[in-house]
Amino acid sequence: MRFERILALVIAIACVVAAVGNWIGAPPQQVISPASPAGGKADVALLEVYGQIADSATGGGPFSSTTGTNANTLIQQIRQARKDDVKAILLLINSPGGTAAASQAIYDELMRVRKETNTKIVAALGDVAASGGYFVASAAHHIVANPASVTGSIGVIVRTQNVSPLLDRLGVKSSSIQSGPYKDILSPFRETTSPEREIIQAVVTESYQQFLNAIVAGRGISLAQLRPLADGRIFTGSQAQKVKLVDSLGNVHTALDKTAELAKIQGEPNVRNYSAANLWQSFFPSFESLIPGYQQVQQARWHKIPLALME
Amino acid sequence: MLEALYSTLFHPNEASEDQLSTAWGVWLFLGGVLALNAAGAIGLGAKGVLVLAVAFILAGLLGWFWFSAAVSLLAHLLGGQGSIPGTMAAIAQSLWPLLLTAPAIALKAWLPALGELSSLGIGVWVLVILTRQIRRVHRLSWGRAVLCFVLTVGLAVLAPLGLLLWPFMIILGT
Repeated sequence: MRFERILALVIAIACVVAAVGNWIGAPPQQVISPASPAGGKADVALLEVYGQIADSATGGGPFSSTTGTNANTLIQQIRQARKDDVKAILLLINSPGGTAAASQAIYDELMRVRKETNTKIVAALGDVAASGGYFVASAAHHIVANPASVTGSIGVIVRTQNVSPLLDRLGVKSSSIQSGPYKDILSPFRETTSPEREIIQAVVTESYQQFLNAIVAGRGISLAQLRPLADGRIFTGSQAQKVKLVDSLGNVHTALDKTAELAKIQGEPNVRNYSAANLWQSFFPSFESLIPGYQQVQQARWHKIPLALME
Repeated sequence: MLEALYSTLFHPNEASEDQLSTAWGVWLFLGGVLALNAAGAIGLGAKGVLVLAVAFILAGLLGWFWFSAAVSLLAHLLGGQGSIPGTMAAIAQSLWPLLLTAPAIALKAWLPALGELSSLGIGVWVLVILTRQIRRVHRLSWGRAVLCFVLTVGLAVLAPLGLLLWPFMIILGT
């Protein structure tokens, strides 16, 4: 019995020693991977801007949506990175755009970081970084795109449909009781009137001007240089580099090297993913994502939003 | 606890006394070792190890409770006669070989193929011991013990779906 105890004790100790060795002797984490907040002080904050950019309520849990980028959450992450005194922020952008206000809110927060701290910001464009996605990227000191990334689409669009001919065929009459003549502006149940068009055009023009001003401020190019490129057209990464909408070509690792260079980080930078799902989100998917067709419904939702930077 | 470890590793056929008090120790010890392994795999610091250890121990205890309950229920449906505390103790004891994953992972650094093979072997070993313990505690035939284990795993996989769909069904259906 004594021998059994001793042998079992030796095995148990050997296992513990091996486990401690597995922990301490583990090779350093590859960069561009979600490092834990417990993994020491971060040099570079990784922030993800994926999918539609929208301004929605913050919060997590099983009943919250996880699709797209929530501007409020991203702003919180930027502030946390700033609080943690990171040397640089690396934005991973793969977004077709989103609402004007949400994109602008993220842009403003990043510009505040640029102006008030020495933190360097680099944007790495993925498959697509168009419209609102590019709006956010323009706040970076340096933009890296893949040669085949799709970017640009600088412009503002308000889309409306008139379904009244269809309703007429079906014998459906629609009416509204409203406090003012423009309360049902963009109503899909009638043709848009001339005064309404003027109002919407003014909103679009103003929003577009804000977009242009933001790019001019962020990229350091003149309005005259930008305006010919800002007619809504899209560019590949290579084309965008030629017209100075992006600074260099490469992948995420190129962007990280550039980030380290700009932030003067010696050796391998410690990267922390501030957008990584928390423990709760890792274990439990959002409730909506379990519903078949939810993603399509989310996409369709955007068609109802009157002001979008890209559709 | 040391006797339980010894008999599980070297004499699995000789059934040790099913002591629930020993089983608690298994989880504390195993949770710590697995947390260290996982922390090394994902590059966590000391705080990360602590968080993982607490999470693993809690998750282990919760999983142990549900798995034992499911095994007991299904074993009884299949004609088993074991008690729930006996099942809980037997299941915890069956997991002792998981401790050896630590040396197996360490081995991967020098001999990756052997390390992988060892990890696989430990996994198979745990499955065999689990089934054997279910058979022993509930006095089932090998066939029924395997069926009980497979059904329990299937049930465990489907249970979260049921738990998620229940509120949905009740809210929408009533």
